[in-house]
Amino acid sequence: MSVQYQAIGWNRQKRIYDSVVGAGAALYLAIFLGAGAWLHPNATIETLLIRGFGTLALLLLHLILVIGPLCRLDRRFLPLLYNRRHLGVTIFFAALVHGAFSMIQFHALGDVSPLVSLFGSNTRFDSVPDFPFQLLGFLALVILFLMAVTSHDFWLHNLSAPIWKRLHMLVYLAYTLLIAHVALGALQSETSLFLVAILSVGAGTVVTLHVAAGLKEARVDQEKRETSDFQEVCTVESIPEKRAKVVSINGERIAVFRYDGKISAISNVCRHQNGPLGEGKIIDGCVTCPWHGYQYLPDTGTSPAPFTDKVATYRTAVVGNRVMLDPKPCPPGTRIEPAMIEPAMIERA
Amino acid sequence: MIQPLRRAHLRIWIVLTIVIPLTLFVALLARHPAPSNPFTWESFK
Repeated sequence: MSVQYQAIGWNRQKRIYDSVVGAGAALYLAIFLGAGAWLHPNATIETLLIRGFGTLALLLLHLILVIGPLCRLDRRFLPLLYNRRHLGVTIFFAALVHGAFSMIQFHALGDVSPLVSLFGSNTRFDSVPDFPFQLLGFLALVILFLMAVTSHDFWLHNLSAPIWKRLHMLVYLAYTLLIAHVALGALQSETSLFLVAILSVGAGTVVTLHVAAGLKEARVDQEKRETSDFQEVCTVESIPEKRAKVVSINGERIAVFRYDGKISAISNVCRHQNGPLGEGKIIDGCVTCPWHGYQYLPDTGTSPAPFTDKVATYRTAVVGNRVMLDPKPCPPGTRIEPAMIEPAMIERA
Repeated sequence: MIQPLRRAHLRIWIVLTIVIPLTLFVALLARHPAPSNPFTWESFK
């Protein structure tokens, strides 16, 4: 969270994250190139680089695609989500090197433009084994490029969160294109089934985790409640101190926070990137989004000065040990007096 | 994440649950015993 735009707001966690990603990528390439040269002494360095950077991009794409559902299924994976955008930009650069070397090796040595060669040298769209798979990779690279150049908060704010999020959901199309790119390309010329096996395991893991996380979310959304007046949503004891319980009322998710003997409720959706506020905790008196640290005061739903973000607030009440909530949202930034927990309840908890 | 986006994600991945394995399966079936793709890795050395 910063007042003005910076290229990268570096902090210790981002440095560690990027160091691990950079060192991991370098180690992978070193092992791949070393083992490749040893196992295939006739392979040229260009071929090894094409394969090395291509498999690195695909591997990292699998990794980045499982981070989201893993966080939805188990919050212990949340630290991986924190700097995910840098991982995404790394994937684009690895894919770009793969694409650039491929263009040089396969399309730049003739008498026509490499792009003309890419689009015109193979038009067998009716054949599965001879399909022009390189075009699929090119389209995926264009999507990864769009995502990389719009990954900064500047674009998030100027495009608005819904449009930015939809643009970045194109990664699923890019992933499908890349699976087809590999299946119709490298897989057709590989005699070993190792690539088939590893690709199937990777794709199976990504698909399974996304569907499992999606179904878990859908179950929460289906918890229907009446929309009028106060209704019981949970007990005081079920909310850990300085944490929240997320309740769903007709599809709207509300984060009910407990802190300092009080109960407040705000929208669960962070204004930054729609992060789940209810999975964060109260730090320095502010609800802190677990994704990127955006903060809101629990009673007003406003970010502390000088920030101006606001989320909707909800009226709460505590009756005995029962937490009651009025499901009608108040306008973002409306101060709602927190419901006080009875002292006996605090002592019992 | 807001509800329409959550629903869109789930719908997309239910579709991909079919599309991705189908792509792999068709590509596997189409494989020749020997490489036939004009862009095999070493053919343009």
